[in-house]
Amino acid sequence: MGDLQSSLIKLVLRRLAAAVGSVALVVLGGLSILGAFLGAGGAGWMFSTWPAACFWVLLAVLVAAALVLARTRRDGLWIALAHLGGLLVLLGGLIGSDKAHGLAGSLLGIEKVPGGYLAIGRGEQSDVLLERNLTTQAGRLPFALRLRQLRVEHYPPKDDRWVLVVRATEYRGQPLETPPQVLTWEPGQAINLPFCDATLTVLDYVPFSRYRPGEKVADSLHPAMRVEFRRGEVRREVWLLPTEDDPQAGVSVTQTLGLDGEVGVHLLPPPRRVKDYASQVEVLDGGRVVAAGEIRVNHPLHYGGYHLYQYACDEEGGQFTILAAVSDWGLIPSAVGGVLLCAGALGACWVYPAWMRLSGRKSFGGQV
Amino acid sequence: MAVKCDILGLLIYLAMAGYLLAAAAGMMKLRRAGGVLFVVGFLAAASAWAVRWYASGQPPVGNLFEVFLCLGAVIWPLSLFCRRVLKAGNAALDAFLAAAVLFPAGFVFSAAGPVEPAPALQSPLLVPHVSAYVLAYMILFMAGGGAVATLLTPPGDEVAASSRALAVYRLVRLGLPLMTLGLVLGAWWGKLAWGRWWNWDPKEMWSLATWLTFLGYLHFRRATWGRYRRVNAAWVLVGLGGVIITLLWANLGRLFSGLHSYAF
Repeated sequence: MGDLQSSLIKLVLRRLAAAVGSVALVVLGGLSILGAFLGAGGAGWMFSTWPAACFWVLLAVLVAAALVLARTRRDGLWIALAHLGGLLVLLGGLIGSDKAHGLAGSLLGIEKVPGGYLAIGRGEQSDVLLERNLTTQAGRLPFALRLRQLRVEHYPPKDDRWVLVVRATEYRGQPLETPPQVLTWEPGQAINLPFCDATLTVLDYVPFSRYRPGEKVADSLHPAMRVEFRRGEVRREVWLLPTEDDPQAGVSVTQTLGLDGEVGVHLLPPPRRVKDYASQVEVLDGGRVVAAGEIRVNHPLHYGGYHLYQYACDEEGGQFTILAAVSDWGLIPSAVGGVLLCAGALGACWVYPAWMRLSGRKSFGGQV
Repeated sequence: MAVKCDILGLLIYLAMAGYLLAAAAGMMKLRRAGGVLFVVGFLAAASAWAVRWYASGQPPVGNLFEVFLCLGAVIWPLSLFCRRVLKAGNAALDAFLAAAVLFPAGFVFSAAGPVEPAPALQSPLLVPHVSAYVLAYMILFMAGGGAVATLLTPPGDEVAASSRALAVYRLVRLGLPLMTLGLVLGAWWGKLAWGRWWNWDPKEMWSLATWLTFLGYLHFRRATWGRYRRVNAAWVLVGLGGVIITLLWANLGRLFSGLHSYAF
């Protein structure tokens, strides 16, 4: 009778925990949807407030209770693993949070900046952590980083031909605030120019030009383009010739045709997508180089309690890099928790039912 | 409307036609014909996916067009497994779902040449992360179909209602671990690429909400001894809504711009 009573109590407790758990999951699901509407910044803020922190702690307690109650189930091992995984993920998140770093500083005297961004020029070093706006200082790292080199790789452009771009700031006394417009061009084809009543026709395109007729120009391998502007009876021919000194060769359409305003046509290199970028850095601790390595997207560097990530860089000039530094607190609980969560879910939903079925028990699929 | 007139487009339309005819044959109780047409649709969809892979030189899971193509190609083996092993799912319904998920690939999204992947996308985690989600979503779509069938079961037909509710439960139990895997792999990738397991990105939030909904379904079902079948079915449909929003609205809606905006 005592055993029966005890089993009954455990059963009721498990069901009660499941019911409370489903309510907690609904609440968290609802908050997640609200967070999606708030955007990353708003959601991050909302889930880091003190009420949210209390909710996280309550959720952790609930998951811990489910973990204890899971012992009494036949598939308890897998359920326990899943809940332990969830608990560790929550714990890792709490330990790694900005709030936990703040508490460690005020209660335990452990001062550690949770993270920030480093902007480092080529050949320079820095230990200053900045906020996301890259202007406000967030703190200092206990070590410094020196950028030896920045390597930027591009995909080859889909079309080798340079592109024509129209930039306009003013026309007939009216200021224009429009982004540059790319013109699709073919030799001999007249194109209507935006902002002014004129057409442009590409007469010649020389992919690798060193000279233009009758005049010696800079020694370069930039292309050259001879274009014709036409407006009514007015017709002008000009060369667009980028050089090392002026890589964005431009001609003022308005000036060439004697119009009032500032509308220009520029010949620019074809757009290229960045394939990869990598910062080759040295870690300086106490003034000495203690480590060196390459930081690439998806390939962070770990040193002194921080992971260092490639965040952004000077894609064209390769003169500076921006790295993100993130404290590694909470890393291990989160990682182990993720693995256990997957293992528990797979075990409870796949392995256990399969085992039940193979061993000829009836609860396959029908277990409630 | 992005109608495609190349070999890829023709294969997609052939697959859709095969799936739709299979669904029609299934509804008319022409089982054998339905089965053959379902296989024809699958072969065409799988061929389209293979053609895309050959043309791009990389596993075609990098944008929404490719994801929908993938969804349309995996449903036949999944449906077969679910019907044979789990005794869950319905061939006609699954074939219809396959045609429905191929519609965006055939008519909505452009199949313009594959874009060179951004640095963050060049990760060995891309394929397992997306694959886990593709399989999970397709299984949960099938569960959603079953949930609709449960809700449409006439009151009083306890045997049919019970059997359908059980089939939905089995499908959710098959799909949820895959969704968990996708979520955890995504978090791991986020940690490697951006430094945080969780970035509060709208797509992340929607996928979390969806995962929590299905988790809540399992908890509620356990807490109530599997009673309240209609509530359970409605719960699964809410989860299915989450899947659709995560897949479409969170990617395409301007309301939710974020780190995953390259995924279309």
